[in-house]
Amino acid sequence: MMKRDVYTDEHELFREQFRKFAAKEIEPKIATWNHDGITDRETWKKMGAAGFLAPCVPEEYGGAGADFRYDAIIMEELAYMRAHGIMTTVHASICLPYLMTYGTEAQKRRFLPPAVSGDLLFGIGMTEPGAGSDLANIQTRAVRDGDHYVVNGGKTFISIGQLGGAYVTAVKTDPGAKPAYKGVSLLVIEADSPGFVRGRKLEKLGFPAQDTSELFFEDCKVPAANLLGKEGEGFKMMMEKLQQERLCICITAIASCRRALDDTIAYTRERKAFGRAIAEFQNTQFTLAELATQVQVGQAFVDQLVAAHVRGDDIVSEVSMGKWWTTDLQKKVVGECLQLHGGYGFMKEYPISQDYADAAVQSIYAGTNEIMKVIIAKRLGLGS
Amino acid sequence: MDLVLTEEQEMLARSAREFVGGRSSLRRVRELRDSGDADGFSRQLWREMAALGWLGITIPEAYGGAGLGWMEQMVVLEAMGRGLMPEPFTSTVLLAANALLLGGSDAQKQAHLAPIAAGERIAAVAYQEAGSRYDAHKVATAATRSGGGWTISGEKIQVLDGHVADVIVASARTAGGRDDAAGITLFIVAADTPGVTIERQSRIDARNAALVRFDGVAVGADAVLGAVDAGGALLERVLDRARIGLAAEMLGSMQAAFEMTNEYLKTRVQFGVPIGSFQALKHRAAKMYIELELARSAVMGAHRALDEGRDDATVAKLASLVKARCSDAFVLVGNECVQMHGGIGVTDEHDIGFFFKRARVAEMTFGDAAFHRDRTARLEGY
Repeated sequence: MMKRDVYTDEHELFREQFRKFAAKEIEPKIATWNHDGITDRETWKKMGAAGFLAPCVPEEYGGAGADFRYDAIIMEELAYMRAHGIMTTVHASICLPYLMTYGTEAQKRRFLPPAVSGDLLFGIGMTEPGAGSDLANIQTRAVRDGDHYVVNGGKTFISIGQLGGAYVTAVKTDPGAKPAYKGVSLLVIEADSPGFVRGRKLEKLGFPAQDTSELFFEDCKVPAANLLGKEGEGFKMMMEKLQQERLCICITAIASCRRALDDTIAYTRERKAFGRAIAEFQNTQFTLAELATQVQVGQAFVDQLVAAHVRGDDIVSEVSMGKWWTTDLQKKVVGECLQLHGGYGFMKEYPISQDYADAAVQSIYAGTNEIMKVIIAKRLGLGS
Repeated sequence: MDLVLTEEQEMLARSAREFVGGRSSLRRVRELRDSGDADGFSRQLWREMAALGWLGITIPEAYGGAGLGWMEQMVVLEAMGRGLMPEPFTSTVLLAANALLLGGSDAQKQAHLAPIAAGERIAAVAYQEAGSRYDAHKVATAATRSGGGWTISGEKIQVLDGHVADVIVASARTAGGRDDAAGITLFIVAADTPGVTIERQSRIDARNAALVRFDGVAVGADAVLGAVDAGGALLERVLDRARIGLAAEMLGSMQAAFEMTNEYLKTRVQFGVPIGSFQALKHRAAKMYIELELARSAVMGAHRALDEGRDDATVAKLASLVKARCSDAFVLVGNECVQMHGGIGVTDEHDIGFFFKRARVAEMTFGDAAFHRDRTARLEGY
């Protein structure tokens, strides 16, 4: 692959170190996790101990004070390895930024060090059965009662739903607010709070090792000190942090494309049909040449997004473009690669079949690809 | 629904193909274009087409036609499409004759249909205006009552074969605002009526169209085609039939371009072998063939529905379906055929470019694929 300018020599050194760690501590366990439908706490703690869990947390809270590119390297390597159950993306790159940006000093001191060590895993509670992309419409209600909030409601499709110790949760604090989004707030809800109930671990099409679950709050008592920012600002905070969340999807999408492509190139050189390797057929060559081109173009764009994001640019439109384009590309790449595997592509024995299932959700979560186009169109000055 | 031709239709198709092959080469089309011919088509050939009965296929015998069906007309249109014939069939037969058949009084039919079938009268339908795009209900041209008749003022664009028309069917607003579906009336206007000016437009497909201006054009009460204020709905019915007919012509054109290209793939040698032996080109040729066959089924289905007298709502849906599919397919075939011809394909001396250019114009005539997909969604209530 062409040298990637966004990553410096130090970054690449870190990548090498992480690869060595992952080859020993992660890769051998992937099959077990996929079979069990969940990862294990020990591995997360090993990640923390080795400094790979949340390197972006500032040093005074136990982290390395690294820039976002270190997170990006970890998620790239994990995606390429197909270790989708270790969701550092959710924990470190999506949840912890809420604490780092909006948390009080007390909240940071309390939550960040155990998050870095892996003793406390974070998940994010946004989605509800009736509110996916339409986040302003959530129904989970939080009512202030002295120095507590009493929370009632339920969340679904929550990543790290079984292993998580705390959830950055979107709640309605003012159901009468107009517009509705002004009634949304964010609470850190800990799993040992009275009234916090873990629901089922959900059966999914893809990502078998991810413990995606339902969560319920039954008169759940949450200290008022766990409020992030101010009441009514939850929606605004989420909109600000979704840029990084969507960028993470772009990064993993391209990494998954590269893995599918590399495996398929190897397969077509070995597999023989009509007396020769199928890599000798023009259809195979053209298909893979086209896909490799698109993946390379996508990688260039995503790297550019990473650089701009690290600089702190407002790239809401561009990240939305990247999110729909790279995930559509991923679905195309795994589809075409599966086809080139022929009948074996349909067999669990070949990871491309799992890639195919895993790709499906990429165009859905973190805002569907249709929502991405709405955002882009709005920023083009189209519609009201 | 049977999607096969009867023996008689097969025979008609064969003779139509032979006639077009013998009398209308692409060289003739090229000469008409390059010579800047005043008519842009051959009146001699038009008379021969009339003599063969082609102009009155769907016109009842009582009005001088053959009283046959749309399937018969389909095979003739396909043949015309193969030769990219620029004769004014779309305007005179698909648009004007259908407007008369669907909306005309007996006297109007008597007056116009027989001369049309005989090839003695060329007719155009003027319904598009600047900014109306594919919405035939956006009409600013106004007709006001004066004396016992009407006075018409306004400008129409892209009037197919308007420069040679003897008679023009024009839409004009008689009530309501510019964008209202109601309040539109169709008028039959002789092209030589004082106040009518016609300016020929040239198009990339070497077909013919014109700007038609009406400047206080006075017509009698008997010029109204159909009911006053009800011309919008009538126009939609006419356009749906024209869309279906045009799709048949497009099908013939794409079939011819495909055959020409298939032949080229078998004869052009590169790297020591015919280029058609390369897998990448075989697959793309197969893709075109699939699109062609799907288009053929859609075209036959729509024509069959007209012959079976299906209701207007069904015809409208089929018209949009067939026009969307043929628009996409013809543009694909046009692009691919030029690409597969390589460098020679983009020269003017090679004929394949005529199909490419015709594809783009036909795509946009009576609504492009995006318009018809959107219309389908509306008609189906999605």
